[in-house]
Amino acid sequence: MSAPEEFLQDLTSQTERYRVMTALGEQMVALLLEDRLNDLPPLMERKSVIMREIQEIEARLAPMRRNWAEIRARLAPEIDQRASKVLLEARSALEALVSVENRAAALLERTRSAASSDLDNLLKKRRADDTYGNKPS
Amino acid sequence: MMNAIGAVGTPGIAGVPDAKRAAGPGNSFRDLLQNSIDRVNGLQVEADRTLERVSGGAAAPGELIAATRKAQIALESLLQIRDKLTGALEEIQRMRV
Repeated sequence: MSAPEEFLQDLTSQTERYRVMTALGEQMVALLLEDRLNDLPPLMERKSVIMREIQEIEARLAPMRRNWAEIRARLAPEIDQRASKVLLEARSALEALVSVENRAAALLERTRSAASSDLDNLLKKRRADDTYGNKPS
Repeated sequence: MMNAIGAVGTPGIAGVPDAKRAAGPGNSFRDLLQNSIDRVNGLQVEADRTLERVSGGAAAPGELIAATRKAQIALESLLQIRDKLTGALEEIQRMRV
């Protein structure tokens, strides 16, 4: 297998993992919408395993990426056509993944702010109860 | 819900190691997330103690402190992953299709 073909194969493997990460990200969003924070750690652990694989593949892809313009110009028409397809799929999968990660981050930020605000209110109420001698509810 | 997660999880991909096999020295990103997960578990205990102290031993919703910290740690981990993926997206967008 030629170097460009190996590159495209690695990029395809990476794209598959982007899709798995997207599915896990969607599950994360669903958990956050249900306020199920306790179910997040196992999910994040699975994401970290896949992320590590993505980075391992990325290390193999890096040299070709750096010289992509030059390599691309020399590709046989058939491989060049395949390269376009694989690159578009990778880009599309990655855009979907970044989008779901952004959504999860926004939900997590909202959850964190809400919990923090509830805690502040609780502590203020307790201080007021202590000050005025009310029985804590 | 969690069954659906299982359906798309790592065992379905050839060559994807499980969590235990992936562990080891040099897995800095994984170690970082594992540490975060361990911290979440530790924080639950710490949160209960803190709120018990604040409330003078009365029954208290320690979940609020724990929830705040769990969300903070999860957010930090998620942002690290998101930033790496955003960098990868920018890189692939620079490649001629």
